[in-house]
Amino acid sequence: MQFVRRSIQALVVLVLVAIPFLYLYNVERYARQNFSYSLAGKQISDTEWFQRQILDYIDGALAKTENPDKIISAISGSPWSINILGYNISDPLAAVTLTIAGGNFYWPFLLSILPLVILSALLGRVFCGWLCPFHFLAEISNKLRRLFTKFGLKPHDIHLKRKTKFIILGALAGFSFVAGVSIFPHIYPPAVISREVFNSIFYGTVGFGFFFIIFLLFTELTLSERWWCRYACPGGAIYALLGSVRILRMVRIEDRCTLCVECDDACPFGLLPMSDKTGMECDNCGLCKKVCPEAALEYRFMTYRGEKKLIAEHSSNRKKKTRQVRGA
Amino acid sequence: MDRRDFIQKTIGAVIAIAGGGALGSALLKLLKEPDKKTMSENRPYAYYVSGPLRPPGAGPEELFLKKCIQCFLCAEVCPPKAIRFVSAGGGLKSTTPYIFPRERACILCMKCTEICPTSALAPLIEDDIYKGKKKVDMGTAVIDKRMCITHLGIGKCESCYTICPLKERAIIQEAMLRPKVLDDGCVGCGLCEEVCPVKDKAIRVRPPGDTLKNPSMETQFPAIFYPGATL
Repeated sequence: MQFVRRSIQALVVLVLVAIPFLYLYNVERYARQNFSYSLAGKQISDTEWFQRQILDYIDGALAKTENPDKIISAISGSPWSINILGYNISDPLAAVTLTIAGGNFYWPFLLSILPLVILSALLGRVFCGWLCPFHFLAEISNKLRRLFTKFGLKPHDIHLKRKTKFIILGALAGFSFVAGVSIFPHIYPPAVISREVFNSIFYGTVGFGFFFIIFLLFTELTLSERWWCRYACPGGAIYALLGSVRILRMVRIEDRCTLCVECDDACPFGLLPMSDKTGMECDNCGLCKKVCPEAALEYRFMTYRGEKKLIAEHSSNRKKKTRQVRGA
Repeated sequence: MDRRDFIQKTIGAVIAIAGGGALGSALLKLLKEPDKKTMSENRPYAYYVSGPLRPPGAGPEELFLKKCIQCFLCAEVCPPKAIRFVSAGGGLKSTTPYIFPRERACILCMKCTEICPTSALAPLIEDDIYKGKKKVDMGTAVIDKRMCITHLGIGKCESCYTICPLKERAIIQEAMLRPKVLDDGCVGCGLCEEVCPVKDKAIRVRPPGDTLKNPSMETQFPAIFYPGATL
């Protein structure tokens, strides 16, 4: 399970890095074809050594195919807004910022967010745990953090209220409306990371967002684990709202549970699966299931109401047990 | 509270306040409207009075800013790599696409308008650009007769006329092969500016809202976080 998740995350990062190289090759192709026509011909001499190697590799691979243009234009973009075979898939936050800051309903774009909306309405915040490139980097940072703790260094562990992210979402949406400019792409980590990767490969420069991501990863290491995702991310807020109606839920089987708190420690989002408090934030990453020594956590298809019923059952059972213990 | 604890907490508070202040001032600097009086030639951040030159198919500046979600799809598919992004010095306009035709001009392939998911870049009129109506309105080229080689009578250049994809509609040759731009036909792709052999460019593209016709009045945003970025 974790292997599958890691593979998907790595694939996303790989695609994120590969697409700019593919289009850098596209630029060079154009420059070669129109060398005398445009001054773009100087592009060919502008590449770095390692870029040269990769572009030569792409050149060799595409030389054998019949229609390179078709292959190049098959995929473009980033998790913020990706275009696959002419179909666009975008982040729900992009639709929010377009609708609020732009003040217009552009139906083709609103339709393009449907895949992610349906996915998170069925499975919860899966975008965060399975696809988001920032989450991937944060997990590496998190490994380092756990290593620190092993060697006796104790990083801070700051907790805020979970609804802070909804306030941030609302405040920034209001700001976008007043300013008439999309403000989310400047601070939403998947958008920022993909832009900086693109900038660094395509133009050879990095922007302000690069320092923003470094800042986030550093605070991730020192201040609080996954604080951005838990308390601040506006995209995470939308996914959490959609995830409240999810069908796939992590459910505790009471008979097997020994109340060892391993799962609560393992959860990167700081949720409490042992106390049945996963709420709408769970991204179904399966880390709690992995660490559970008794295999007491399982995926179940269950509605919101079903889970509520189960939790009520659990608490009544617990009360019964305590009564029995006291009676004995 | 003992003395050691007190000192530690004080130092922590000072560091926190200093860090917060630095971050806040940096943010304010980003949000502040850039100084429009500074002027420098031949820098990729040259701005015009009404804002940067947007890629083809962009509407009015305000509407474009509202629609753009800064997904950089347009820059990715641009074959000549003409589209670039406003640096962090651009304040709220930062990371929006623009074209600096002096370095690399638009070739009117219209791939960016095809890929743009939010219709921030959309062709104005559905018609072939080579037949009649205006499909794109990025700006208009303006010739500075004080610098143009042909206008000065030093030589016969014809570069702008030769490269123009809309010959006889956007640019014509008058007596003595002097180029003349027709405002109704020019779409502002900037190929003429790119090839102009004069060092400071005798022909320049200005955005549609730009009423100032004097090419020497170009303004510029300070390049803070993309120093020395060239293609």
